Amino acid sequence: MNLSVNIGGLELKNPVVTASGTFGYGVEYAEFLDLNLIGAITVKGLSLRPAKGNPPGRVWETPCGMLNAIGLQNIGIDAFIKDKLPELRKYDTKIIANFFGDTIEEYVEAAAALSAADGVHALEMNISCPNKQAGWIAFGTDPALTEKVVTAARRATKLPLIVKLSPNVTSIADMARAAVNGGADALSVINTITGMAIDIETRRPRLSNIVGGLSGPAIRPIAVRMVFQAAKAVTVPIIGMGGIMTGGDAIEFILAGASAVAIGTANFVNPAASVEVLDSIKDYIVRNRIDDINTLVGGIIC
Amino acid sequence: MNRLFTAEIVRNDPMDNGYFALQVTPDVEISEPDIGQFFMIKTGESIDPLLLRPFSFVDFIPPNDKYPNGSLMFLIGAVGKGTNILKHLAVGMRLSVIGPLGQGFPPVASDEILFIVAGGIGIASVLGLTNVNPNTPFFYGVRTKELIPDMVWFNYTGINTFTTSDDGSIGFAGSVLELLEKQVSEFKRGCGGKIKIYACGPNGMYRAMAGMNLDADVYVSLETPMACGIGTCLGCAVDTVNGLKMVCKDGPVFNLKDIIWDG
Ligand SMILES: Cc1cc2nc3c(=O)[nH]c(=O)nc-3n(C[C@H](O)[C@H](O)[C@H](O)COP(=O)(O)OP(=O)(O)OC[C@H]3O[C@@H](n4cnc5c(N)ncnc54)[C@H](O)[C@@H]3O)c2cc1C
Ligand SMILES: Cc1cc2nc3c(=O)[nH]c(=O)nc-3n(C[C@H](O)[C@H](O)[C@H](O)COP(=O)(O)O)c2cc1C
Ligand code: FES
Repeated sequence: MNLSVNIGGLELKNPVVTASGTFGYGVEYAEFLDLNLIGAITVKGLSLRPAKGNPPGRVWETPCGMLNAIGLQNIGIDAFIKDKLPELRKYDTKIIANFFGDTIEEYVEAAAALSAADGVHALEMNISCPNKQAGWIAFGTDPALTEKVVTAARRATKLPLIVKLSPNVTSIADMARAAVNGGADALSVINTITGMAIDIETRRPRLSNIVGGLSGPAIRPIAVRMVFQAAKAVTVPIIGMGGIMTGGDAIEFILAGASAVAIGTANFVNPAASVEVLDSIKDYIVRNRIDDINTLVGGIIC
Repeated sequence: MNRLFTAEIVRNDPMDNGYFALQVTPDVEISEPDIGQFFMIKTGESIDPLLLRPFSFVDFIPPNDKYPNGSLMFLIGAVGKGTNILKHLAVGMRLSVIGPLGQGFPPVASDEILFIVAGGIGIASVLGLTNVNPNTPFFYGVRTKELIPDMVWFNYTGINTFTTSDDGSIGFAGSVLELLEKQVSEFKRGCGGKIKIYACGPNGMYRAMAGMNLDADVYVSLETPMACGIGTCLGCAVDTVNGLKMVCKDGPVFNLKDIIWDG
């Protein structure tokens, strides 16, 4: 039985990775599961300088999901390389560094800095961030801007470059094509969906930032649909994510066209969720007498 | 030690006033929690509610013949979706739990005297303090008499309670802080000495305490919505003079003077 997959040049021993922002810097989870078992760890989104994030009032539970407006708080690339990477290098798994910037120059600089670090195996570009130079329009909602920022980051790294798409767009296929035209080796689909919630007693928003990103099982059908559409539009491999709680959920993404899957919010509900999902994927593979997981990718019959 | 474990419900007793006493025994050995630390509990198998709920423990009963891994006592108010599900779970069912989590109340020095303050359900996180600090003055404010949980379920000793109620139905009529302030200044005039205050209650109570001129070292247990409980989602931030801190990891107990209260 082969579980290994290749994500745009990144060899994973199995298709289960953790989603950025839901698994800290990875090391925090060593007490809950054997990190050597999972395909890759995607670390919290990193920026050139440490970022403070949004004021308190950052998470709120919604039916089968949660809203977050963390505001990309992180320790910064330098501290990550100095304090977290040496610890992560001890594990036999792949490290995907998720990163973002306020400007194209910051994306380029961040990509270069992370590529030079020992122990980073791939980069994942979060383009669901507002662009300072273009009136804070998110890089990931305008195809021309997406292509431009991806092209620039592409030149700054030789590592596999995964572009993480924002679902807050009319056509995910257009965004997928734009990212691939810019040089993406793979895509992550999807980031959180913009949402909000209001306390009807105080009439105040539940999040200090008013709007936040919705994640968890509530968004899964949307995510499956977007993976399906993106996979039809481009040929690069896709890491599917959005509400995966079980192995069955993961298989659904693979059938829709994902070559790997990321476990996000489920890590909060069960810190060992990623290995449990992996075990249950294995059960499915055995039960269905599948020799190679890659043969399942895009295997939806319609 | 295992901070992610399953535990069997061995007692789940509802009270008339919406509170319930929950006792669970872990399926594995867990580390002995410090008072003020908390546990994240999954309220059922369903994905709605999705997230675990944070609860302080009232008491940890060390391993014995009946419960080889000890048992944990919780006092919980049924206020919303998750707690109302938890309240109805039967003895023998198993819960998914993470903990002990966070930083509890600091130790009390030998030259200090402790005052405990609880507002409403806040009693759950400070009640355990009475076991290690017997005869400590315990200021307990409730809205009305009916909202006092039945204590028969809990093992606590030497409680020296000053109860207050907003409506005067029990104890001193008025605010618990009013009574606290009086007692603190009386103590200062009398024997004097250093006072530590450990408090748990609503944010409004803490804000009021921050505005009072209490000549004491005040520690409070904060509550914020949480997703992970282990410091990784960065969702439970609180503003402090030392920058943003995570309630689940750096707290929930904080020195009151470090907290920055917004407008
Ligand atoms: C460190 C800590 C210790 C606590 N200890 C106790 C205890 O010993 N006994 C007790 O009765 N309660 C305690 N609470 C409060 C308890 O967590 C909430 O009452 C509970 O989460 C409500 O869940 P629900 O689904 O019934 O309510 P809902 O209103 O349906 O919950 C909706 C969401 O808001 C969150 N939420 C609602 N109220 C609170 C709150 N006060 N604090 C944090 N999150 C909240 C829930 O976790 C959930 O994510 C504690 C909270 C914290 C942070
Ligand atoms: C609390 C939280 C923080 C997140 N932080 C990041 C981040 O820093 N960078 C990023 O690209 N995505 C971030 N995400 C998005 C997730 O990686 C993932 O794309 C999304 O949550 C959907 O998957 P899920 O439903 O399994 O959580 C975050 C999500 C959550 C819930
Ligand atoms: S609840 Fe996730 S960091 Fe505190």
